[in-house]
Amino acid sequence: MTASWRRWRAGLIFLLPSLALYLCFVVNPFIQSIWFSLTDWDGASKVKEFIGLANYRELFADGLFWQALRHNLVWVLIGTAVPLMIGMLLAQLMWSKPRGFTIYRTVFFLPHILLSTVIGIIWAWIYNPIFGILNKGLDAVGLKDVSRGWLGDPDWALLAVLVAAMWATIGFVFVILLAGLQNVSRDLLEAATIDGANGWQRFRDVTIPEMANVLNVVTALLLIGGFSVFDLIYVMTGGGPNNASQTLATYTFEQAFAQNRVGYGAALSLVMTVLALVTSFIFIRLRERGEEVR
Amino acid sequence: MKSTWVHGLHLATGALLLAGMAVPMAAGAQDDPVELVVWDQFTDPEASGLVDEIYAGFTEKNPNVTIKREAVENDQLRQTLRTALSSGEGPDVIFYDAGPGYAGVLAESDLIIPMDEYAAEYGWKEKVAGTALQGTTIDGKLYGMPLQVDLIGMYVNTAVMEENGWAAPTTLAEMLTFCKTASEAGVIPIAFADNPGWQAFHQFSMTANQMIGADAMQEILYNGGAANWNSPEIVTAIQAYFVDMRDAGCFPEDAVALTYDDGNALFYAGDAALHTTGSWMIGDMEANMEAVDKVTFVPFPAIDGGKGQYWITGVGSAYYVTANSEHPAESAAFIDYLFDPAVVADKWVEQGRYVVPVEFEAASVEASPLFASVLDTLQKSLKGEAELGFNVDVMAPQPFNDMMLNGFQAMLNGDKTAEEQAADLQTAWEEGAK
Repeated sequence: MTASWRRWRAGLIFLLPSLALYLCFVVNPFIQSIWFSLTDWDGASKVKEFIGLANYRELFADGLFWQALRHNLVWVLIGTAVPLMIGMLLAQLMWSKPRGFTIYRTVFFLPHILLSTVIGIIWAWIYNPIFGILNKGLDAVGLKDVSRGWLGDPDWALLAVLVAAMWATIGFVFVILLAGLQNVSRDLLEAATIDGANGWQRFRDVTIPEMANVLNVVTALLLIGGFSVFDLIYVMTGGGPNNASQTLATYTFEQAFAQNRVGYGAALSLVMTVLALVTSFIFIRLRERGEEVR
Repeated sequence: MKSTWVHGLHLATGALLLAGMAVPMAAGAQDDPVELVVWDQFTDPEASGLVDEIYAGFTEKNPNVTIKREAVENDQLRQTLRTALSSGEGPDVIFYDAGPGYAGVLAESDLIIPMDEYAAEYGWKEKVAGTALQGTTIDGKLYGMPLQVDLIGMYVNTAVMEENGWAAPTTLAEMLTFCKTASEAGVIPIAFADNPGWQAFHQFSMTANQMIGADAMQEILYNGGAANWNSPEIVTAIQAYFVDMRDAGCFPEDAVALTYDDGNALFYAGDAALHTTGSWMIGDMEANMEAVDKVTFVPFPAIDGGKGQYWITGVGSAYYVTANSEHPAESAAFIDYLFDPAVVADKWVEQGRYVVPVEFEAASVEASPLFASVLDTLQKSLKGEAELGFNVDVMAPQPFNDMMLNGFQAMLNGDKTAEEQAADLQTAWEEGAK
């Protein structure tokens, strides 16, 4: 037995418990989901009739699927860009550790540690048309025409929930980016300053490239989160009104558990997973290519 | 002749011996320790305490039985029960939603058992209202014992009405006039709130029953009668609540954004004069309203061209025995205990404020006038003295409920007409019936 194999064997033995858990709770359900998506299972009957790709064919002809996907795309675009911009702005402001740094950092991060259900309830109160602070505030400053039933208005329901989600996400993005900023070389920034670079140029040509890895991770997490968003929508609107805030995850849940169509729900969930993975992969590849060109 | 006598004696002796053996066997079976696993939905601490007490009453009478109870939120139960049962695990007894989308799915998959045999043994069909048992009968077999039966109608805050000199409307025309008058006086006419959307099911049930009548509704929902949701009567029913009443200002502004709790709060506070919802709210009203004695509960107003005014009733949840249970006989005995008229009157009704479809001595129950009026109506219906309409959603297929939920929200936002919704409901019904 070679030393190399002994080292491998020891590694494998240490890995086995995690591997077993991974196979049991990740790989197994994933394979089962693929199988369910090829059946018309209702979640209860003993027989799962194989129907081939019928669920997928139905899915691509399902108007609600495309509507939910559009909502996810809106969520992904706004829900990724805005937290990144605000998080970066806050991180920049806090980088020099101004007075009250610890308090600011705690306050900014606090929403992220709240449970989604709690965030949903808090924001539902804020939006409440009877006693909500938002409408009261708008009325107080003479913008009564703007106030509305935010969660009941099909034009605003999705954005209203998205704002609540971003409020909770910004703190997380801020903390990660702030940590990333600690690795940005101050020497490089000083050199750029001496070379005559202004603030924006230093940010664009030094800070951003130096933080590429951190930005990649945060963006990928936001993208994946945007495709799988469920809890806040479920708590605040249930996907309504009239599907105006339905996303792929809430639609999947509704099909699988309310409509007793587990097979169709499994197909939806797999499409959602593929979309999240492909989008993240494309993003990371583009970032890497950008880095290489640079 | 002698041999016949001898044979007869032998047979009799054999039979006695067998009978003698059978008695200890039965006694032995009764004494064998049995654990019944029960999953119910009584998660509210007060209700949970009462249910513990009721279950303990059964185990006191049957000391060999222990009950392992798990209270699970309704939503969570809907998500986990099917998986648990289809994997061969799960409880012996469940307290679960009736209707085709819930218990119906379990029955189709043979995950719960028919209980006709036990019903005959314990006389359940004589004890429990036939209309309630219809709600738990699937393909002619009785699967569940309906504990929770509610009335849906209109609460009237008479304090608000009297203060303003108004009378509770009894026709749609009166309702529309009342809504305009109340709105102008700064009072919300009806505390209707439709987020996340299920609340509209009950409003539709009321107006649809008023238009086509209880018999026709019963035929559609329980007897497999052909449904025509795209009829002029149903269009009128939809138009009445979701267009005419909306336009008359009957509901709070942005009703689609308001939750059920918001609507309840408006009614409790006296900001709204009427509340169109179910009798399950009585306990909360008694706990939250100072002037609860000023609240009455009446049927929804009649609609021109309709069949009159009906209270709406429907089975909420029922007790079922699962196919995985190794103790179906003990499970049935447990369920029978829950429906004992004394347990019903003293525990479920008086302490829990549940409206149980069992005939009992209503006069013996200590109840507020509001609750007493609901009990009285239901007891009258049990005796055939009052005709009740039927709640649609509990017996409707899921695509139909989905269309009600989304379509009525769209209508309240002005994005859909009554004709479009009626046509969509019919399509959804047909889709669900496939």
